[in-house]
Amino acid sequence: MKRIWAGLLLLLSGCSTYTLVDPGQVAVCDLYSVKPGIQWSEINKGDVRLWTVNGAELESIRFISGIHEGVPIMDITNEKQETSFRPDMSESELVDAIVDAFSLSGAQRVQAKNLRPTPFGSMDGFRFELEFMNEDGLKKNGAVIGTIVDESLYLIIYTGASIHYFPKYAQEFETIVNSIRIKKGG
Amino acid sequence: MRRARLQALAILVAGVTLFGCQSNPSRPDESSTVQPGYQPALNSDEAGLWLVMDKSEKELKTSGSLITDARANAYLQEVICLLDSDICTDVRVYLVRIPHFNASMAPNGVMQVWSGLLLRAENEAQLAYILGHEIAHYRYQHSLQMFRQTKTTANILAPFQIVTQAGGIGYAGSLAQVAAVGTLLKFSRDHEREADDGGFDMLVAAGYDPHEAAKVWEGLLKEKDALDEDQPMLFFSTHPPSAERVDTLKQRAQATPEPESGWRTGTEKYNEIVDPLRFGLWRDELRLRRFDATQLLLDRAMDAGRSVPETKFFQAELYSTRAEDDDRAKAESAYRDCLKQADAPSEAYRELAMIYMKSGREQQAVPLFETYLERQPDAFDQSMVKAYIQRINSGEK
Repeated sequence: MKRIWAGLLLLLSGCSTYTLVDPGQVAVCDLYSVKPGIQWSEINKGDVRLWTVNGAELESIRFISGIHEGVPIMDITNEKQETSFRPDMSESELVDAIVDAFSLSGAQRVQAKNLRPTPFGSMDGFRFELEFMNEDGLKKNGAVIGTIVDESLYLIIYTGASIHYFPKYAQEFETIVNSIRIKKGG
Repeated sequence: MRRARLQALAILVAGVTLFGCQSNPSRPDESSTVQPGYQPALNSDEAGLWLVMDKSEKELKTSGSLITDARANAYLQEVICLLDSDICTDVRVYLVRIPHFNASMAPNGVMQVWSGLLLRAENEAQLAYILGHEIAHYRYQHSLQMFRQTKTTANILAPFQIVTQAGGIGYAGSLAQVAAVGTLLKFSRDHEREADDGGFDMLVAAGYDPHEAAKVWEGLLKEKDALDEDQPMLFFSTHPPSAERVDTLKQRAQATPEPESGWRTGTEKYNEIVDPLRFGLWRDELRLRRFDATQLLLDRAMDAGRSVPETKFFQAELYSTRAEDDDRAKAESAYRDCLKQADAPSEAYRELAMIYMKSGREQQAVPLFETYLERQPDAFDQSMVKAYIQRINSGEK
C-alpha cells in the first residue's frame, strides 16, 4: 500500500498541492456532495480526490468518481493487470476487482467482508469492509461504498491503520457517507 | 543421513563419469562447497553480505505475504532435508504468497519459495528438483561468487531492481527484491549447469524420478512462449532457460539406472499438502491477468485430472474475468460443467446465477443463489445475495 500512496502522491505532487477542506457541504463531483464534520487535507488528480488528516498511509478517504466503461477501476498499478470497469458488473465482481487492485499494488491478505446493499445518498448502492496488511505487515482496515449511475462507477474508499487511525476517523467516515446528497438531475 | 549423502556422492561420481562431456569440468568438489553450520569470517566481505541478507530476512518474517500454513511449511522443510540432510538445519524456508514461479536461496541460508511454484509443480519430485537446484547454488556459493564480481552493494542492488521490474512483478514489491538479493544476479551458464547437476544428483539420491527434472523446465518454457514479450518471468531473469539444459537433464535421466524399489514422484503427498491451498493459488494466478499462460496451466491441471471441480471452476472464472468476445457464453457453459461435479465450489452456483440474472433469466438464478447460501451460510456477500433473491421475487428490475 505504501507504493500506492507513494506513487499516487508523487504523481500528484507534480501538479497539485494539498488544500484544506473545511467542515460543511462540499461538492465531490458532478453527481453528489458530502458534508464532512472536521477539516481534511485534500489532494486530487482527475477523477480521484484524496482526503487525509495525518497522511495517506495512516488514513485516507478516496473519492473515485465517474469511472466509465473500459477504465481501470482504481488505476493504481499496471493498467494491463487491473480490471477495467464494465457497467454490467455485479457488486461481487466489483468487490473482486477492488480486492485485486489492492493486492496488485502490494497489499497482503486482502479480505472483503460483509458485502451488502446500502443507500448511496438517494441511490441504490453497495458497501463492504476490507481487512489487509501493507507490505511491512501493518494491519489495515477499509470500508468501501459505491454505486453505478448512468453506466459510471462512483466509489468512496476509506482506509487506515487498524491501530488508532482507522477507528479514530471511522465515525467521521460515517458522517460523510450519511451526508451524501445527490445533486438535482444526478 | 550419511547413507543419502554417500548415495549422492556415488551418483555424482557416476554422473561425472557418464556425462563428462556435458558436465562442467570445473565443477566444485564436495570439499569446496558450503559445509553444515558454515558461518563466514567476521572480517570478510561475505559477512557484510550476510548482514544485508539477515536484514532482508527480518523484513520477510514480518511480511504479510507469508503463507503460514504449518503443514505446507513443514513439508517444504522436509523435502529440503530429504535432498540434503546435512545442511537442512541451516536452511530456513519461507513460503511466500506471490503467484509467480520462483525459488531463491540467499547465502545466509534463507530460501524463498513463491506460491506460483506450488501451482506449477506437478508433484514432489518436480518441487524437489527446483529446491535441489537452489540448494546447489547455495552449496557452491554461486551468489557469493557473483557478489565478488560486483564492486559495491549499491552496484549490486541496481540490477536487482532492473531484474524485478523487467520481470513484470511490481506486484511482488520489495519481496521480489529480497528474492533477487537471494539469487543476486543472473547466474552464469556454468553456475546453472552446476546447479542443474547438483539438483539432479540430490533428486536421484533421494529416490525421486529423475525424468521429472526436465519436465519442470519444459513446462516453464511452454509458459514463457504463452506470455507476451512484456511479461517476462522473474525466474528466467536469473535462471536463463535453454533447450540444451532440458536435453541434458533428459539424457541424464535416461542414463540413470532405476533402483529395484522404483522411482517415486511423490504425487499423492504433494497433492495432499497443496490441494488445500490450490483454490487460493488459482485465484492469485488469475489476478495476474496473463490469460494465455493461465490457460496453459489449467489445461495441464485438467489433463492430470487434478482437483477437477476446482480446475473447471477457474476455467469458468478465466472466461468471466477476461470478458472478451464470446467469453460470457463460454463462462456460462464452463460453470454449468463445473456444477456437474459433486464437489463444485459454492461460488460456481453464485456465478452462474449472476450470469442468469444479467441475461434476464432471473427465475433460473434464484435456486442457484439459494443453493449458494445453503452451502456457504457465512458467505461474505450473503446480504447482497439475499437482496438479489428478494429483488427477483418481488419482480423489481
